[in-house]
Amino acid sequence: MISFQLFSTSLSFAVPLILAALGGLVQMRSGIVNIALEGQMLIGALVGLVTASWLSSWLLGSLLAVVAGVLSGLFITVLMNVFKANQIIVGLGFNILALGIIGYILKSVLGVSGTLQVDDPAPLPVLNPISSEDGFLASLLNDRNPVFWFTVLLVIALPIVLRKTPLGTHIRAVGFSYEGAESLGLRARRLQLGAGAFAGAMAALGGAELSMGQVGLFNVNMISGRGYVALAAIYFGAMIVIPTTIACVLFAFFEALQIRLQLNNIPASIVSTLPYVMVVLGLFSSRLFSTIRRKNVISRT
Amino acid sequence: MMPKSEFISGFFRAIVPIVVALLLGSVVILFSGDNPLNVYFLLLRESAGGWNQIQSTLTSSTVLLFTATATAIAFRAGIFSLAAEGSLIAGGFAAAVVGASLTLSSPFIAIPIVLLASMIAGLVAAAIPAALRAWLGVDEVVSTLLFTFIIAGVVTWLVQTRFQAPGQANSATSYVADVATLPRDILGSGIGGGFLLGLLCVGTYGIWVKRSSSGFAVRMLGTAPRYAKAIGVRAPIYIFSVMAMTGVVAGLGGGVHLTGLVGRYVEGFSAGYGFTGLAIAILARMNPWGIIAGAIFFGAITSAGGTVQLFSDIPLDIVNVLQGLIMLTVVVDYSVLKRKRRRSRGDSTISTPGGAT
Amino acid sequence: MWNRNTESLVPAAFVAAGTNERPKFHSLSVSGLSKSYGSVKANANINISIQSGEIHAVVGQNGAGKSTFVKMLYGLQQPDQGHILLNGVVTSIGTPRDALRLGIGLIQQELVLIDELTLLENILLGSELSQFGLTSHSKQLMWAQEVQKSMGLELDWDRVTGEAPLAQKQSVEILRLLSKGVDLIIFDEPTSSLAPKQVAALLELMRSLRNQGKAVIFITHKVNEVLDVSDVISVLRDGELVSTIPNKELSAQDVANMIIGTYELSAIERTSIKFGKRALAVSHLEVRDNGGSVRVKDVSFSVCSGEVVGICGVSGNGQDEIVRATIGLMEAAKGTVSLFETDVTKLDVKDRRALGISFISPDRRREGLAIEAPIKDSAIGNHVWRLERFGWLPKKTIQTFVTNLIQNYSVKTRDETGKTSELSGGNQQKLVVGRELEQQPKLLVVAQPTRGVDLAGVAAIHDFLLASRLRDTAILLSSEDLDELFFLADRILVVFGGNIVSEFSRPFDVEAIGKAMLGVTT
Repeated sequence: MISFQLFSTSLSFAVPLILAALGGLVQMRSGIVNIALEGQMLIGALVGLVTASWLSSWLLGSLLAVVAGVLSGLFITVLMNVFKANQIIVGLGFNILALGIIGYILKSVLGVSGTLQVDDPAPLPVLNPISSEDGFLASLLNDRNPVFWFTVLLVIALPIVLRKTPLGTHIRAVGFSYEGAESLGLRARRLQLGAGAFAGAMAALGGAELSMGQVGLFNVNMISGRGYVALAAIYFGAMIVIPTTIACVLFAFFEALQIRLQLNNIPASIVSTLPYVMVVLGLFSSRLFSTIRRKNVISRT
Repeated sequence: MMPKSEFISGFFRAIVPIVVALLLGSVVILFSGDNPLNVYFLLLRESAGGWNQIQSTLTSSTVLLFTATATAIAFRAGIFSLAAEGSLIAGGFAAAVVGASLTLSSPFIAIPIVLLASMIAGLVAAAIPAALRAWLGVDEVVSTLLFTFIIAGVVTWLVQTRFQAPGQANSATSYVADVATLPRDILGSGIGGGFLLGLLCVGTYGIWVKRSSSGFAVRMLGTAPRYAKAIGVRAPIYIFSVMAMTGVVAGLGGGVHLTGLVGRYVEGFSAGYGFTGLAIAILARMNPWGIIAGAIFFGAITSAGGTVQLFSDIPLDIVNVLQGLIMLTVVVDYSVLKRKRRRSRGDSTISTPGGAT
Repeated sequence: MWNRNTESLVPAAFVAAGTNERPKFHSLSVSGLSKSYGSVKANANINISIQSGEIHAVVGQNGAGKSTFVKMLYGLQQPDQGHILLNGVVTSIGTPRDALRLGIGLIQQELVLIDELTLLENILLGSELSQFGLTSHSKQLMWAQEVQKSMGLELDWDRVTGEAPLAQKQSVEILRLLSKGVDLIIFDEPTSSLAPKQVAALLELMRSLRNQGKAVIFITHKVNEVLDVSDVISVLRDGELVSTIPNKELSAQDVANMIIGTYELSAIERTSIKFGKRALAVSHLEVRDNGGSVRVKDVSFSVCSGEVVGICGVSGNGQDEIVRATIGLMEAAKGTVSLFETDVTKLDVKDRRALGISFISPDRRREGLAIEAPIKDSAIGNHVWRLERFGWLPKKTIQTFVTNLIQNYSVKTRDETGKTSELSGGNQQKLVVGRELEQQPKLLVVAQPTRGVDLAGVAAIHDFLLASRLRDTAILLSSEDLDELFFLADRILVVFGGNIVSEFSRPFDVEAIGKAMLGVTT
């Protein structure tokens, strides 16, 4: 039974996914595959929660999470662009490293193992623009934190920026052909670094929203694959903003549904594979169609 | 054998990243108030300080021998397959299920059956991305990476629903029968059967790559694909085969890990061994001796990290820190720094003779 | 260059930087310019001078040295000897950036535009016209219309560049260069893939550039176009300048003669032998490239055992595709290829090789050999299918095979276990030839067998090829080296525009062949 409650939960779950996915999408448009979204989200989750508590400000906490994300994004992009490192290994290595450093510091410095609870967490404030408690609009717009509204803005603005501004066109040009863009006079390196910083920032913000807005504490396993789900969403959405966002909402819906369905014996583990199955099927059919089309062109003419 | 000079330069190429990683690691250690020299000393002691420690290291290296070899097989053909992790899990699970339900009496029959099951499971897990890449050109990085999660989910579901050991609090299968367990001690040497099997695996890979016709075809696909096509190598068949073999070998590794060490399939069966194996394969540049050295090195870190955390306040996470750092330092092209210095001196680009007018 | 009324639309960034700082361009000349790649002299002692307001054509065959010359003018290569003088002042051009700054622009054969963007986006990339921070498509279109009026250029501005015809892509590159304020534009083989109408439009554009005072260098092998549009013609042959003559003093025949040079039919007698049965039969072959364009239109010919049939023509006219379709590396869209009555058209490379067809690729480094691998890997080649025993390559067998091959074909190696790249070009090619001739193939398909090979190596390879005739090998030989063809071939087929336009037997009429190759219609 699909209730508005389920819809509302899906949107909540979708926010971290959308942020990470759109950040990764921009970086992919600039020509780099970001496998490190998972680790960047984790960093954002920790930095956001902890600094918000220290400074008693959700706003500062979120901003510092974004800064941490920018630094991590620049770090890995420098490795890939300047030092020509293999993108897959950098992503995987970064995820392992982030997990390791965070776990290490949690135990060594803060003396906790795995889960961190802060005193006086400064949770994200919640707005309720619709007066009534029921109804579609209420489930859509009520009980939303500022990061949600930022995400909405991002989904609206990003397609415009990518397609209709010089900056967006330059980023896409670099992704289409790095050498071509350079020989046409663009500053390809800067554009890739900028896209990398943006991706890190968004992923970190997504992680912070998770720890500050949904869960209320930090755990080393709290991202549990969302970074990879975001990656799957990007491939499923063919690196286009709206389809990718829809994919994120869909995958978040699965997550929300799965909690519901545990009562009906449909296991979480299978539902968790659905995003990946969908992407693999999508890749298969699109390649199949293009192969058939190409064969037809050659034999028909 | 490689010419001596190439071996030495390859050795240095492997050492520099490790040194850089250790240096960066010490920054993290310092930051949390520990003494890096102390930490590294302890790690060294606990990995190689005595025969018990060395045994433990070798045991930890065993699974890595398989995953690194599995990945290297595909790399040789220029295929960047990440399927080792998924096939490892599938293989371990299959071994657990088959091993727990065997009622045979002889280990000489039981063990091969269990390992065969793990190889088949690994193959099945890798088959779809392999076919997609070989005949449809679907990017193998994406497909194998995402498939890893699919396999993990399916296996978890199977454990939770059908193969759950009765009376267990967490998700786990039953223990395998003793008859199907790999011996931990071959002929009193202290070295486990699994490790020897791993060496055998790496050795077979090394010989296959150098001496077999399919090894030749695969190598040519990797280093000179146009030449390979021109001499008649049928690319799709070899592409599918190497990706399938990655699954078989990684599956076998899962089976060995299961029967030789863990005994049953539990959540968290693989601590990213597939991806670590990937890093080792790259670090070793797919060379069998390098794979053995790399597996032992990473195994040493893992095993030492495990013991060290018991009697010191150094968290187990040091293992992840060092592994992650090594992965990052290994794939960096240090020659970029050298090239930057050279370019400022204004050298011209090098021409390629024999090219067009 | 731009009309007054477009100035308000031209974004600041688009106004050429540096033109104010640069002195007015008068001339560019090269003096004693030489460049060698290893032992091959690509350019030897070139002296050419180009003035502003002039279209200067540089013509010659492939291998004559045109592309090396261009690379040195554009900073992609450095000369070994000689100087480049800009307005009489010795100048060093280290990188393409330097060249652009000096006002030299190059329209390369392979364009560097971004295929996924539109033509307009490519032109204005980096200098977009915007409104409120968003790229204003309407403003950009208005600007485009002005350009259209002032330059007479008609482009599908909103067409995706990857799908746009080559002529329009060239216009985009020209516009970008002009916006950077170049004074000298080099066109490197710009008309190879253009239809006659587009060629005419491009030549007209060159005239209008010249009339505006720009200097144009037109690199090509198309004699007719050169006579049509150029003011001065310089002819290169084998890396040397043959002569520089004003256009009005020349006829097509003169130019063709200069390009090909004089050939003395070799004094060395090559034994003529009796031919056997028809080994290769190609019938109505049509071959298309990856984009679907027809590269070979309708080609039919045959080769008998022991016969050497040569294919000649200017590169890019379909010879490559004929060769690749015969060995199976390219598909035949139409037509058939048969070996001794067996139709092999549907068979892949491995099966064709199994039937006795061997292949020497024109791309030695990437297709003929495994350049980064040990010599033995390059030596094994297709013999792997023959030498394997149950999937195994016995060490002794391989070693013997490789050693024999190296000995029999005089491959000089410093270290037999070294990498293939350590061999010289000549020895590499001898290895390839030996590998492909071992096992007495029934048909040898070979392209550019002696490109980049020293004289001794050339002689050795020619000996190997001739000797294989005595073992009933039929040879299909495609070469841009006319000396080689005249020496080796029994018959020569001239390919032009994807068709075989003429066939010649011994004794060869050099002049006629030259004309047929250049598509000169008399």
